Amino acid sequence: MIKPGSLRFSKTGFFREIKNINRKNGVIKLDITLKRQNRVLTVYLKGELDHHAVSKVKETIDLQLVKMPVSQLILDMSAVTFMDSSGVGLIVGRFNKMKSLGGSMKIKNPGFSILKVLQMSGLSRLMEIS
Amino acid sequence: MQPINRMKIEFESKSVNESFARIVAAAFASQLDPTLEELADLKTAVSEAVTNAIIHGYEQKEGTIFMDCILYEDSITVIIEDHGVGIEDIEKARIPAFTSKPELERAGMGFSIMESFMDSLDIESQKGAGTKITMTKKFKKR
Repeated sequence: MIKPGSLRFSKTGFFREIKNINRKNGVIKLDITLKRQNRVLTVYLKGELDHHAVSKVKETIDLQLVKMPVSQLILDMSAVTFMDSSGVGLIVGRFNKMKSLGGSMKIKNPGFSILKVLQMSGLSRLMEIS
Repeated sequence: MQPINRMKIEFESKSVNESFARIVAAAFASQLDPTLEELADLKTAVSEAVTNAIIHGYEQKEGTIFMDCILYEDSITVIIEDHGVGIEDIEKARIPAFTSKPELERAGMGFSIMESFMDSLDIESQKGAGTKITMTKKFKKR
Protein backbone atom coordinates (compact mmCIF):
# COMPACT_ATOMS: atom_id res chain seq x y z
CA MET A 1 0.00 0.00 0.00
CA ILE A 2 1.26 3.46 -0.87
CA LYS A 3 1.27 5.90 1.99
CA PRO A 4 -0.12 9.37 1.26
CA GLY A 5 2.70 11.67 0.24
CA SER A 6 5.17 8.89 -0.60
CA LEU A 7 6.97 8.38 -3.91
CA ARG A 8 6.53 5.45 -6.24
CA PHE A 9 8.24 4.32 -9.42
CA SER A 10 6.60 3.40 -12.69
CA LYS A 11 7.93 1.58 -15.76
CA THR A 12 8.35 4.82 -17.71
CA GLY A 13 10.86 6.13 -15.20
CA PHE A 14 8.42 8.72 -13.92
CA PHE A 15 7.66 8.76 -10.30
CA ARG A 16 4.76 10.64 -8.99
CA GLU A 17 3.86 11.94 -5.60
CA ILE A 18 0.25 11.26 -4.81
CA LYS A 19 -2.00 13.78 -3.14
CA ASN A 20 -1.58 14.56 0.51
CA ILE A 21 -4.86 13.50 2.05
CA ASN A 22 -4.11 14.49 5.61
CA ARG A 23 -7.51 15.80 6.66
CA LYS A 24 -6.15 17.48 9.79
CA ASN A 25 -4.10 20.00 7.81
CA GLY A 26 -6.32 20.12 4.73
CA VAL A 27 -5.80 18.78 1.24
CA ILE A 28 -2.97 20.32 -0.76
CA LYS A 29 -4.31 21.18 -4.19
CA LEU A 30 -1.04 20.48 -5.94
CA ASP A 31 0.35 17.37 -7.61
CA ILE A 32 4.07 16.92 -8.17
CA THR A 33 5.51 14.69 -10.88
CA LEU A 34 9.24 14.21 -11.16
CA LYS A 35 11.25 13.09 -14.18
CA ARG A 36 14.96 12.48 -14.11
CA GLN A 37 17.01 12.13 -17.29
CA ASN A 38 20.76 11.92 -16.78
CA ARG A 39 21.47 14.90 -14.53
CA VAL A 40 18.39 16.90 -15.47
CA LEU A 41 15.51 16.89 -12.99
CA THR A 42 12.18 18.08 -14.37
CA VAL A 43 9.46 18.90 -11.85
CA TYR A 44 5.91 19.08 -13.22
CA LEU A 45 3.52 20.94 -10.96
CA LYS A 46 -0.24 20.71 -11.32
CA GLY A 47 -2.62 22.85 -9.26
CA GLU A 48 -2.25 25.82 -6.94
CA LEU A 49 1.15 26.95 -5.67
CA ASP A 50 0.58 28.96 -2.50
CA HIS A 51 2.03 29.04 1.01
CA HIS A 52 -0.03 25.97 1.94
CA ALA A 53 1.59 23.91 -0.84
CA VAL A 54 5.18 25.20 -1.01
CA SER A 55 6.67 23.20 1.87
CA LYS A 56 5.60 19.97 0.17
CA VAL A 57 7.25 21.01 -3.12
CA LYS A 58 10.36 22.27 -1.35
CA GLU A 59 10.81 19.01 0.60
CA THR A 60 10.24 16.90 -2.53
CA ILE A 61 12.75 18.80 -4.70
CA ASP A 62 15.40 19.14 -1.99
CA LEU A 63 15.21 15.42 -1.29
CA GLN A 64 15.88 14.73 -4.98
CA LEU A 65 18.86 17.11 -4.98
CA VAL A 66 20.58 15.22 -2.18
CA LYS A 67 19.74 11.77 -3.56
CA MET A 68 21.57 12.14 -6.88
CA PRO A 69 23.60 14.87 -8.58
CA VAL A 70 21.51 17.29 -10.62
CA SER A 71 23.07 19.81 -13.02
CA GLN A 72 19.81 21.35 -14.21
CA LEU A 73 16.48 21.78 -12.52
CA ILE A 74 13.50 22.47 -14.78
CA LEU A 75 10.21 23.60 -13.27
CA ASP A 76 7.35 22.91 -15.68
CA MET A 77 4.47 25.17 -14.69
CA SER A 78 2.10 24.50 -17.59
CA ALA A 79 -0.53 23.03 -15.23
CA VAL A 80 -0.14 25.56 -12.41
CA THR A 81 -3.44 27.42 -12.12
CA PHE A 82 -2.47 29.82 -9.34
CA MET A 83 0.74 31.19 -7.84
CA ASP A 84 1.49 33.99 -5.37
CA SER A 85 4.72 35.24 -3.80
CA SER A 86 5.07 32.02 -1.80
CA GLY A 87 5.84 30.36 -5.14
CA VAL A 88 8.38 33.09 -5.90
CA GLY A 89 10.13 32.36 -2.58
CA LEU A 90 10.21 28.67 -3.42
CA ILE A 91 11.71 29.33 -6.88
CA VAL A 92 14.36 31.75 -5.58
CA GLY A 93 15.29 29.26 -2.86
CA ARG A 94 15.72 26.41 -5.37
CA PHE A 95 17.60 28.73 -7.78
CA ASN A 96 20.09 29.60 -5.01
CA LYS A 97 20.44 25.95 -4.10
CA MET A 98 21.16 24.94 -7.71
CA LYS A 99 23.66 27.79 -7.99
CA SER A 100 25.47 26.62 -4.85
CA LEU A 101 25.62 23.12 -6.35
CA GLY A 102 27.14 24.53 -9.55
CA GLY A 103 23.99 23.87 -11.57
CA SER A 104 21.27 25.91 -13.24
CA MET A 105 17.51 26.26 -13.19
CA LYS A 106 14.85 27.23 -15.66
CA ILE A 107 11.09 27.63 -15.73
CA LYS A 108 8.95 26.26 -18.54
CA ASN A 109 5.44 26.97 -19.81
CA PRO A 110 4.00 29.36 -17.21
CA GLY A 111 0.45 30.51 -17.97
CA PHE A 112 -0.41 34.19 -18.35
CA SER A 113 -1.26 34.92 -14.69
CA ILE A 114 1.76 32.95 -13.44
CA LEU A 115 4.06 34.79 -15.85
CA LYS A 116 2.73 38.10 -14.55
CA VAL A 117 3.81 37.19 -10.97
CA LEU A 118 7.19 35.91 -12.22
CA GLN A 119 7.86 39.10 -14.19
CA MET A 120 6.66 41.38 -11.41
CA SER A 121 9.04 39.65 -9.01
CA GLY A 122 12.01 40.08 -11.34
CA LEU A 123 12.54 36.34 -11.78
CA SER A 124 12.64 36.72 -15.57
CA ARG A 125 15.93 38.59 -15.10
CA LEU A 126 17.32 35.86 -12.85
CA MET A 127 16.66 32.74 -14.92
CA GLU A 128 15.43 31.49 -18.27
CA ILE A 129 11.65 31.35 -18.63
CA SER A 130 10.39 29.73 -21.82
CA MET B 1 -20.32 55.89 -3.90
CA GLN B 2 -22.92 53.61 -2.34
CA PRO B 3 -22.09 49.91 -1.89
CA ILE B 4 -24.34 47.55 -3.80
CA ASN B 5 -23.51 44.43 -1.82
CA ARG B 6 -21.44 43.38 1.18
CA MET B 7 -20.14 40.15 2.67
CA LYS B 8 -18.19 39.38 5.83
CA ILE B 9 -16.54 36.17 6.94
CA GLU B 10 -14.09 35.08 9.59
CA PHE B 11 -11.92 31.99 9.52
CA GLU B 12 -9.05 30.38 11.40
CA SER B 13 -5.46 31.28 10.72
CA LYS B 14 -4.67 28.07 8.83
CA SER B 15 -2.78 27.91 5.54
CA VAL B 16 -5.50 25.74 3.99
CA ASN B 17 -7.78 28.80 4.27
CA GLU B 18 -5.62 30.83 1.86
CA SER B 19 -7.30 29.19 -1.12
CA PHE B 20 -10.70 29.32 0.62
CA ALA B 21 -10.43 33.09 1.11
CA ARG B 22 -9.32 33.91 -2.44
CA ILE B 23 -11.99 31.68 -3.97
CA VAL B 24 -14.72 33.26 -1.81
CA ALA B 25 -13.56 36.80 -2.69
CA ALA B 26 -13.43 35.93 -6.39
CA ALA B 27 -16.87 34.29 -6.29
CA PHE B 28 -18.33 37.41 -4.65
CA ALA B 29 -16.59 39.72 -7.13
CA SER B 30 -17.91 37.68 -10.06
CA GLN B 31 -21.30 39.40 -9.57
CA LEU B 32 -19.71 42.36 -11.37
CA ASP B 33 -18.70 40.18 -14.34
CA PRO B 34 -14.97 40.99 -14.24
CA THR B 35 -12.48 39.61 -16.76
CA LEU B 36 -10.47 36.48 -15.95
CA GLU B 37 -7.36 38.63 -15.62
CA GLU B 38 -9.04 40.97 -13.12
CA LEU B 39 -10.23 37.98 -11.09
CA ALA B 40 -6.74 36.44 -11.13
CA ASP B 41 -5.27 39.74 -9.86
CA LEU B 42 -7.84 39.88 -7.05
CA LYS B 43 -7.21 36.26 -6.04
CA THR B 44 -3.45 36.82 -5.92
CA ALA B 45 -3.77 39.96 -3.78
CA VAL B 46 -6.23 38.30 -1.34
CA SER B 47 -3.93 35.28 -1.07
CA GLU B 48 -0.99 37.57 -0.25
CA ALA B 49 -2.93 39.43 2.46
CA VAL B 50 -4.25 36.24 4.10
CA THR B 51 -0.81 34.58 3.95
CA ASN B 52 0.63 37.70 5.54
CA ALA B 53 -1.87 37.45 8.41
CA ILE B 54 -1.05 33.77 8.96
CA ILE B 55 2.75 33.99 8.75
CA HIS B 56 3.46 37.44 10.15
CA GLY B 57 0.31 38.45 12.04
CA TYR B 58 -0.25 35.25 13.95
CA GLU B 59 3.25 33.80 13.36
CA GLN B 60 1.65 30.52 12.20
CA LYS B 61 -0.16 30.12 15.53
CA GLU B 62 -3.90 30.13 16.26
CA GLY B 63 -5.90 33.22 15.47
CA THR B 64 -8.89 34.55 13.57
CA ILE B 65 -8.75 36.34 10.23
CA PHE B 66 -11.59 38.65 9.22
CA MET B 67 -12.45 39.34 5.58
CA ASP B 68 -14.89 42.01 4.55
CA CYS B 69 -15.79 42.40 0.86
CA ILE B 70 -17.73 45.43 -0.36
CA LEU B 71 -19.02 45.63 -3.92
CA TYR B 72 -19.56 48.91 -5.73
CA GLU B 73 -20.87 49.33 -9.25
CA ASP B 74 -17.44 49.00 -10.83
CA SER B 75 -15.09 47.87 -8.05
CA ILE B 76 -14.55 45.68 -5.02
CA THR B 77 -12.95 46.66 -1.74
CA VAL B 78 -11.50 43.84 0.33
CA ILE B 79 -10.52 44.36 3.96
CA ILE B 80 -8.41 41.67 5.61
CA GLU B 81 -7.76 42.05 9.30
CA ASP B 82 -5.90 40.11 11.96
CA HIS B 83 -5.42 40.68 15.68
CA GLY B 84 -1.86 39.45 15.64
CA VAL B 85 1.51 41.00 16.44
CA GLY B 86 1.25 43.93 14.03
CA ILE B 87 3.89 45.43 11.76
CA GLU B 88 6.63 47.46 13.41
CA ASP B 89 7.63 49.50 10.35
CA ILE B 90 5.04 49.59 7.55
CA GLU B 91 7.26 51.56 5.14
CA LYS B 92 10.02 48.96 5.51
CA ALA B 93 7.51 46.12 5.00
CA ARG B 94 6.40 47.71 1.71
CA ILE B 95 9.92 47.68 0.24
CA PRO B 96 10.13 45.00 -2.49
CA ALA B 97 12.16 41.94 -1.42
CA PHE B 98 12.15 42.95 2.25
CA THR B 99 11.22 40.06 4.51
CA SER B 100 11.28 39.85 8.28
CA LYS B 101 11.48 36.07 8.00
CA PRO B 102 14.32 35.18 5.58
CA GLU B 103 14.59 31.71 7.16
CA LEU B 104 11.18 30.85 5.67
CA GLU B 105 12.34 31.56 2.09
CA ARG B 106 9.80 34.33 1.74
CA ALA B 107 10.26 36.49 -1.35
CA GLY B 108 9.27 39.69 0.45
CA MET B 109 7.01 40.52 -2.47
CA GLY B 110 3.62 40.33 -0.72
CA PHE B 111 2.87 44.05 -0.42
CA SER B 112 4.47 44.81 -3.82
CA ILE B 113 2.13 42.30 -5.46
CA MET B 114 -0.91 43.64 -3.60
CA GLU B 115 0.04 47.17 -4.65
CA SER B 116 0.66 46.27 -8.26
CA PHE B 117 -2.32 43.92 -8.77
CA MET B 118 -4.89 46.18 -7.06
CA ASP B 119 -5.75 49.83 -7.69
CA SER B 120 -5.27 50.97 -4.11
CA LEU B 121 -3.69 49.54 -0.98
CA ASP B 122 -3.85 50.86 2.54
CA ILE B 123 -2.11 49.24 5.51
CA GLU B 124 -2.96 50.09 9.10
CA SER B 125 -1.06 48.35 11.84
CA GLN B 126 -0.29 48.69 15.48
CA LYS B 127 2.36 46.69 17.25
CA GLY B 128 0.70 44.11 19.46
CA ALA B 129 -2.81 44.93 18.20
CA GLY B 130 -2.94 43.65 14.62
CA THR B 131 -3.01 44.65 10.98
CA LYS B 132 -5.78 45.82 8.67
CA ILE B 133 -5.23 45.75 4.92
CA THR B 134 -7.74 47.59 2.73
CA MET B 135 -7.45 47.18 -1.01
CA THR B 136 -9.62 48.06 -3.96
CA LYS B 137 -9.78 46.62 -7.46
CA LYS B 138 -11.58 48.47 -10.22
CA PHE B 139 -13.21 46.46 -12.98
CA LYS B 140 -13.29 47.80 -16.52
CA LYS B 141 -16.68 48.33 -18.11
CA ARG B 142 -17.36 45.62 -20.71
